[in-house]
Amino acid sequence: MHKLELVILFSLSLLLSFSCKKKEVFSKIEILGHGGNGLEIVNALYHDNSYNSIELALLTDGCDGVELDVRLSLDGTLWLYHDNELDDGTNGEGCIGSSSDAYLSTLHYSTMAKESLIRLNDIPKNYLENKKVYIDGRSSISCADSTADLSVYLARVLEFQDACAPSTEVIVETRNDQWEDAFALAGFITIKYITAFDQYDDVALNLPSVDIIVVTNDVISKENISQIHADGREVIIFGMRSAKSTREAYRKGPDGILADNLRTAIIEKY
Amino acid sequence: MTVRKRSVAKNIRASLCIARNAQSYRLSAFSILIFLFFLTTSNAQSVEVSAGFNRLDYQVGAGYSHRWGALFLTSKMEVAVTSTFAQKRLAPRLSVGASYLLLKKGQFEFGPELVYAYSRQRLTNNHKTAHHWNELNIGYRLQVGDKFKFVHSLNGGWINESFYTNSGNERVNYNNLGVYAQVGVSYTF
Repeated sequence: MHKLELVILFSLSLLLSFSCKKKEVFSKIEILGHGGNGLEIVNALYHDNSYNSIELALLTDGCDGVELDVRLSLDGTLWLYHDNELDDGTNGEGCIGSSSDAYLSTLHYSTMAKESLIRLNDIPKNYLENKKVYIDGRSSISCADSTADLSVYLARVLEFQDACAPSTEVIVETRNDQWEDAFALAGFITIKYITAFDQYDDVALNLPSVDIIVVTNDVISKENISQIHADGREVIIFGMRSAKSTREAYRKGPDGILADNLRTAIIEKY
Repeated sequence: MTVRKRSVAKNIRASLCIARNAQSYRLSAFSILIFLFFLTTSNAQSVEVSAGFNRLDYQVGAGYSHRWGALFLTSKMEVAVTSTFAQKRLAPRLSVGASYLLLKKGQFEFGPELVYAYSRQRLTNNHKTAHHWNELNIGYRLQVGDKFKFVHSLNGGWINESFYTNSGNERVNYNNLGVYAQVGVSYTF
């Protein structure tokens, strides 16, 4: 046998040994695509919160749902957009809360693919069957230094939930305590975002209706998560992009993750 | 009557089968001829190891090339680094490319390149819902050296992602802009 053939055979066997079956089982952890197929990923095929990004995530085997950044327009329609101001990521100006539906319909993201901004109701409901929809309730209208109308926002989310199949679970993250109470009273599973674990005591004391705590991976430990579980709450963590950080996050035992690199998160789980 | 019909149908099937076989033989013979043509007429052959990236992952691999004057044909097999090594999930990428190295100055060569590549990655344990990517990129290839060459290429173009949905009932396709950049070392026989 030639030397070259030997080298090729050796390389192939090395490759196979590297790619052999693993591993730890994280089957109970739910994977929700952050903004659809991931947020702020350099090589992402589509912009977060765009139709293609959300559709791609929902149709991918192993994805349990999506997290969406939902804002109320001037005409009282729920639109998907992450940043406060439109000129941060689109060809528009102002804020979602200070713009009409007609104006928002003309906008697109400042990417090569130029994806359009979409409404929450643009997502086909059949894609959401047996999936979780995590609504990040973005209440602030920074351009007008005001807050979105809670009653209209709540009514639109309720309409959206009614339009979805019974197997679709809608959960809502709120940015202020008044919204938290209103969504909890309306029967939603509510989520509270904390930036450090020492804020959890405040939530436990003052917001008993909160069902899920969402927190970045780097500020929470396995013990912290166990403590939250002991209080009967669930934990969702985010902020992982590499395979290593995703694996570390899984080992802490959260109930779900917001995946910025969806493919990596799914491979790591299965 | 029924027997005759059956017999006619059998004959038709047989002739179709012969036609198919003949066609397949012709195709195989044609492929062998092309291969022999490449093998016997090329000025040089080389092997190459390279590292690069596309929109999916970092890629490392090895390739084999034939050369006729300025025309350079390369076939290469790579693997996605993160998936294969960090996550232990093999993600191969096979590519074929043609370059026309029209600029030559001393040991420096440069020219346009067209590359087609196919990659596959299984995300869950279900093989049916594995993701497939097809890429067709155009760009340039640059190589510097004599027997041992430094190789670099940069391409952009089209990438298609296709997979069966999680229900497994429908195949979906997504098209987007693709990019591929690589550096490597080649050895010419």
